[in-house]
Amino acid sequence: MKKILSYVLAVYFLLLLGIPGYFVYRHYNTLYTGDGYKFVVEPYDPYDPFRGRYVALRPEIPLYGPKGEYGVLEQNGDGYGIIREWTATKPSGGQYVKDMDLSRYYMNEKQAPRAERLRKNIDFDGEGMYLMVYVKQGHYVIEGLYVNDTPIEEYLDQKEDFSG
Amino acid sequence: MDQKKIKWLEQESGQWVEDGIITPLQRSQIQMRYPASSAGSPLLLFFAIIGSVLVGTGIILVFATNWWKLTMEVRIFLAFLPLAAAEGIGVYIWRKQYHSLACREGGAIFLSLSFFATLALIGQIFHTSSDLSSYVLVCILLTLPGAYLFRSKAAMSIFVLGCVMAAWDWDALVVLGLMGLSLPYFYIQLCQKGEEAAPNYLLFLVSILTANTVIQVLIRDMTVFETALICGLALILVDALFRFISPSYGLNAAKLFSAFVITATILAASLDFQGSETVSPAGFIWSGSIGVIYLVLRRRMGGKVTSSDLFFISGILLLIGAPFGGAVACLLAVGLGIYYIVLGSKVLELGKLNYGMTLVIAVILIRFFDSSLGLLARGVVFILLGIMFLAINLGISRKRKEQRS
Repeated sequence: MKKILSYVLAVYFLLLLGIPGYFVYRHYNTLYTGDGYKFVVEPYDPYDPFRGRYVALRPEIPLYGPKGEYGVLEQNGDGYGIIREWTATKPSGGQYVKDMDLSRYYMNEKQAPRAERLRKNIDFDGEGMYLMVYVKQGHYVIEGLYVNDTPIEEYLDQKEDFSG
Repeated sequence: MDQKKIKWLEQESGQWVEDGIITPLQRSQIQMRYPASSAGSPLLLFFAIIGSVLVGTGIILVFATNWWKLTMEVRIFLAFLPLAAAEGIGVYIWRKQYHSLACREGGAIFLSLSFFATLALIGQIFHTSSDLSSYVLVCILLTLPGAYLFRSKAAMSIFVLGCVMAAWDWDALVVLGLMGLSLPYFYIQLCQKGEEAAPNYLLFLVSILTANTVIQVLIRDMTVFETALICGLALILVDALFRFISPSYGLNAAKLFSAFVITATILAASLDFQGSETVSPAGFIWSGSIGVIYLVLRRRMGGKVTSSDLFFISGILLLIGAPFGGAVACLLAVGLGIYYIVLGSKVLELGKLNYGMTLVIAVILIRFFDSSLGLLARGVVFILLGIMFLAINLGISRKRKEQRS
């Protein structure tokens, strides 16, 4: 019995490593072989007890379509992502997403509140804040949050006036 | 010999000496033949569990500080580090230390919390937007086999706490289904208690059905908080009725289940220290009616204050203190936890001690996440405290080994 349970334990331990490993593979693969889209967002700052501080984001365009439908992605002239159409069947070509949720961007606990303050201090007409998202066959991964094409972490390091 | 029997022998032999049946010398000879184990074992267990919980949660918090300056590959490596370490320790315990309750409990908790940490960090690295209850649900489902394999009460408590968390966002049927996954574990526990296991198990199922019926009847008009509390009070009443009808009634499934329901509600209410709950007029009528019947029954039955009375009073206090629900629940959890740790250590009953420890650990965890201190500082403090507890554990173990040899 103990021998059988040892095999069960071995399979279980492999599963415990394998599931997060699969998540990593899927995200990594999308990030490095998928297509990049920008989505304009606006930040505010909540907290997750397990995963730490994050900037909650509100995308400018609606990313949820009818339940269970696929959103076919396209880029406009500036590289920003737009959803061309919603379709009930899985698109055979091009990039598409389903129930895309771009509501979180995890940051250093000191920087997240500063990122939230950015919202009140920058001129969104002149300066853009967007998420860079890589998409591959329905999977998507957030690569970074940018302000004027600069990663937000670097942008906040340069701008001391949001340190309040 | 069983500790309960030793305790009985100790009390009875005192009476035999008084009655002149045996001499004090004979009594001490009997006591030497059946020595009561020292409080070392439960204490060791306590330190092992507390230490593992503190180290595990400390690691979670240190990672949660978001080391965004490290490269993604390094962060992925770090994410898997605690899980790999926990699995290594798990294999060692499985092969060499499976007989040690303290090792099994500590190893299983460390495994559970490490998986929580690994998944949290991967979510953080790739900015996944899943909500908290979905994350908790995935974690508790995947760490449940660990609780079974290591026969760990504390790891099973993490599962039950996770179910309580999931209850806020998930459908009642999902939560009941999740609770169902823990039933075989409780069944095994009941089986190990001896010949009363089968009827006790049946009574346990009846208790779940009673609880489910109460929930289905009340949930439409009342909040989850008051429904759960009234459900717990109703189960204590069921238990008291059985005891009233048959004084020889010796089963405890309904009582255990009521303790479980009330404990879960207290912990859920304590999540937000400044939070308040509401009790509807219907809730007051239901709880008031149950309270009056219970009081009448207890008056007629007489006897000293029992653990059922304690849970009943806790449930009623929480209902009365609903406007300050978070603070009242926190105080009740700490009070019950300390009481059962002291009682468990005194009478050397692991069940009581484990219950008390689970409550105290749960309160530490809940308040820990609620603190306004920085994540990194809290993480480091928790890891250091955890290492201290584990070092004390190791020190006591060595001392006991030396004494034995």
